[in-house]
Amino acid sequence: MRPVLSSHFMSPEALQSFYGVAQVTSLPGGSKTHLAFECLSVSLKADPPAPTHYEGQTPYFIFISDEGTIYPPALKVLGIPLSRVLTVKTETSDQVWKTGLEAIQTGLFSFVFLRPSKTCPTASLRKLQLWAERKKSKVFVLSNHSLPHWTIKKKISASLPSRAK
Amino acid sequence: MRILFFPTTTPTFTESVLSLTPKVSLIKNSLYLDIEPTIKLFKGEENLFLKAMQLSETFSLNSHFVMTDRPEWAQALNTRPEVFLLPGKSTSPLLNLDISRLEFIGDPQKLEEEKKERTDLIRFMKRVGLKTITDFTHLSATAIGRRFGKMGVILLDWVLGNRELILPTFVPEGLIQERIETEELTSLESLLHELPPVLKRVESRLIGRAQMVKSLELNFHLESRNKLQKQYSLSDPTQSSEILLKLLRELLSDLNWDSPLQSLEVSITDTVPYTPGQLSLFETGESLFSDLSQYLTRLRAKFGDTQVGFPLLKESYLPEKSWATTWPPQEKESSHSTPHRPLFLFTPPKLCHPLNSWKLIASENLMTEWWSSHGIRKYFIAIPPQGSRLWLYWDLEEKAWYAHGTFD
Repeated sequence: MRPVLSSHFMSPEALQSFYGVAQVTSLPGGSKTHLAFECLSVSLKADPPAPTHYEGQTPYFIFISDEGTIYPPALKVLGIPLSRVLTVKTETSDQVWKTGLEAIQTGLFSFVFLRPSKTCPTASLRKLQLWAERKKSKVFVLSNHSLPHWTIKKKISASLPSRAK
Repeated sequence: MRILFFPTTTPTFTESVLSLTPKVSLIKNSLYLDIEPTIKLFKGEENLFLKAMQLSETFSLNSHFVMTDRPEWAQALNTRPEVFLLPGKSTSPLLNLDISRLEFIGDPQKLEEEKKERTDLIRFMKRVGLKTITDFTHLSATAIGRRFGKMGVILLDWVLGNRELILPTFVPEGLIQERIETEELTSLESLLHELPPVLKRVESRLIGRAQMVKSLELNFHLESRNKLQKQYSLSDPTQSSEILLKLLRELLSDLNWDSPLQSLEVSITDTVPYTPGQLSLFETGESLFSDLSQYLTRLRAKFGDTQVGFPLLKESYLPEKSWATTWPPQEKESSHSTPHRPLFLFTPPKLCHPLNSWKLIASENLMTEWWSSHGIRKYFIAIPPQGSRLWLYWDLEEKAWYAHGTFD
């Protein structure tokens, strides 16, 4: 199982090279939202551009949150075309996870940004991970909460030294 | 000419068969399809016939039919449930019919009117020893005229195919409406299970009319005699029952009714003409756009039009009014300078209480529109010792702090 990635350890360029779910957290004073969209911005400026399911088409991106919404003028400053960013404001955090999974399953979005106010069950996150890999989507979970996979990650980290022996 | 005749039909089935041929005639609950012009299009009579049978199943119609060469013979040949006569092979079975079947040969629009005269004449024919239609056609036209009068000659012409019958073309009218009785359904799951055949009928009728759904209305008839009405618009018009089912699944999962549901009525309130071949001509980009449109329609049905869409920037210095969610996305975008504003806004702004330990840096003052209830806002960037920077404002009217966004 791929562990959930943390922005503390990954540069935007490195995040670009994987398909799956990455949790983005903020250090005090940092901005996880900015970092995630910075990754998208870097990806858009890549030369040659990253391959997409739909040849020659700029892919679509989706931002889903239950607390609020992205501020589009600030997004535009990052050089992200607004005509490619679908924004969804849900009523509950559960809907963020559910809609996020559906969005990945459609295969329409190369970048999926989820900003839920609460965490989700392990099974939901696992589904998200599998579908993201299957559909080759980059999913950014913008949350400072300890997601279920943090436990798994800790287990993996703890097991590494013993394996080295 | 090839005629597919259904002795009994419904207006809904009749409009669905317009997808098979434009030459459709509805005469007193009987349906006449002239399939000759579209046989090649469907790659053979058999394919076309099978499609007609599939449609009759969709509309739960009994499978009684007559396939023959001329419309004026169809009713007379309707002697058993399924009569399929190969091209050019209808004359013999017709002539072998009992003389009493003469009553049904001819213009179906006039059969009722001529019924008495025909019955009297047939009774007379039987008295003079005519048993089958062959016996009748063996007589010369002059002899028939002398013995059976003008009606006798007319009947002979119909039997021999000497007259040309032109039937009026059917034109569908009114709204497309389908109803589902839900009294015996106990759960949403069972309702969703019952929906596909209903939506299949809607799809067939839309194909028959060469239309696509643009907006639809759901009427929920409740036991309390209240009627719950919901209207929805599709961002991408469609004919597909599968897409409509996905949409209805979203809509119904979010709806609640306070009394048992007795019936559900689906009405197509607005349509746009269907352009033939448009799907097959879709390029990849258009396909992507079409898929996105269907997905967006479902999301909008669930969360509302204002909560889902692509941002379109608007000229307003108020952060929450400086864009709107739209569909389809607009490529042309105006430029905005937004210094000191965060990437994420809380909607609606959250009431908050800054602590003494927070550092507040004044960023901008905004005057709200004079007609709105709120007055002047003084914005600050709040830097707590631990945690994320917030974008706060002090509402001078309400004398309250709000967190409008976060730099997190």
